[in-house]
Amino acid sequence: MTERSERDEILDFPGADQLVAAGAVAPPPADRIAAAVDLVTPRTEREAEGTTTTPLIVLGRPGTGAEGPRTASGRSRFPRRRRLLLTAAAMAVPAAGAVAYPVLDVGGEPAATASAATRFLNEMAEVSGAASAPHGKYWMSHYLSKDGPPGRAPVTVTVYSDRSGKSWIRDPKGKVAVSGHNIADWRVGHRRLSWDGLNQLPTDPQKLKAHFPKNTADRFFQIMSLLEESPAGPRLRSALFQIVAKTPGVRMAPNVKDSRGRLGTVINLHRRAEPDPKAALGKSKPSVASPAYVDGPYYFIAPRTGRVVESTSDLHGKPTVRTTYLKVGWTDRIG
Amino acid sequence: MIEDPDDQEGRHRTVRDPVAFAALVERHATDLHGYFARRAPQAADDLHAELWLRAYAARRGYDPERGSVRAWLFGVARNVLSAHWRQRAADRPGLPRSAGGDDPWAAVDDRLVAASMAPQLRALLAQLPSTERELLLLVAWEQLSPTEAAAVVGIPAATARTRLHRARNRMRDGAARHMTGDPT
Repeated sequence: MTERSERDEILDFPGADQLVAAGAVAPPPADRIAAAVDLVTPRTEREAEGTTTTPLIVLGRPGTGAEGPRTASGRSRFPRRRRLLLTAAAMAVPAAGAVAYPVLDVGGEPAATASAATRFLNEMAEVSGAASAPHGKYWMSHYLSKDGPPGRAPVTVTVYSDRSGKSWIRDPKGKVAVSGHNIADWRVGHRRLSWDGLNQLPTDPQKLKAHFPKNTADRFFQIMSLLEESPAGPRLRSALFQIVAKTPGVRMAPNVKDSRGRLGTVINLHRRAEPDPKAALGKSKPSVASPAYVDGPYYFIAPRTGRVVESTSDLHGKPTVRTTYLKVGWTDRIG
Repeated sequence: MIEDPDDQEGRHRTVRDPVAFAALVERHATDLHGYFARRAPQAADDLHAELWLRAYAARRGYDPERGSVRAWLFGVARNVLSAHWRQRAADRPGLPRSAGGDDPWAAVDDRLVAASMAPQLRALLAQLPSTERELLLLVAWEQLSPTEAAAVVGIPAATARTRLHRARNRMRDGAARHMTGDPT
């Protein structure tokens, strides 16, 4: 029996013709089809751009000095005020096995340079853009925070924030208190934005980029902070990833385990160490141990969701700063 | 590149190839837009756009061993539609179950009313288990084969055939009861 005759046989009941006729709809206007093609075309073009590979470079240098990574201005690259993210179900898809940090590099070349890192980040832009739109009264993140000298145990923190910026913290014993700190804001350029403020940002990558610092490293760390811990919606996250994809010096390493043993892809910004002004004047020792390059922090990204599941100051040894996200998302209640 | 429907490897390449993907959009967009127009007419354009974004993002997950590209795309469309109805139910918690959840029956029934379909036929369709009804509509409206409809719903083809024939028999028996005046 062919499929066609099967169809006839299935629709062999009184009223089947009426049923089939009731399903008739006019074809969509041509501009609807064109719009669908236009929606996909930029993504296909971006991906097609990233088909050329660059050589593998082995990343072997530990990250930072004892005080943890700092920007030129001395600000910590790690967000201190709040952390975000991830449901357990949204973790990286298990792969065959972790590897020891083979890194593909954008190569410090201009944006259009094709590389595996660019392709990966553009894919994360796609994945993020296709995620569900935000819903719920509060943004919640439940995470393990390690921030201090080796030996100090990480603490479990749960933070809630509403759209206006009001925040609540639940301590490990389950007690919830209104936060005494302004933790529900996110730095974008010189401004600090609430959840509502983030929603006002443009989602065109070029226009969005203009809101961030011109300095590559400062821009990268602000964007990664948003991707890591903010309730940015799917389109904004997609645009943020697209900016990162065009950032020279971004490296990636696939199939790396985070501190919980979850496999993800690590990205970081490979850059020259910034001269310490005080050290240059002979008033203090350099804050960074020696190195010609500073590579941390490292961000573990779950390829299936585009979410940052962990950030750490050091892939090797004992990091001084590490945030491990256990659960993140929108919720309608606190507690 | 236009896919060759008889070339499984070609289908696989087309879905995974970013450049060739646009051809898929042109080829299937009308049918998929119709799927949404029949089940969520007010949101059809948005859902249609959402479908292609999701399909593109998920294209590497397409497995030609599990069915045609067309069935895979309708499967993605079904997921988009289900999410839409669930979200609608979440946004409007007072909505009766029949108008929310992820079963688009209420919208489908509106269409049947608008098409002046006989009330007894609507009642018979309403009484079908939701999966049987969905399979039937995929065959009747989207012109999917039973095998494709099975892939969309995520059940084995043999199971889909059993359910489709059961649905047909229910419709036949119900119509016969109506004609004889039997209220059971």
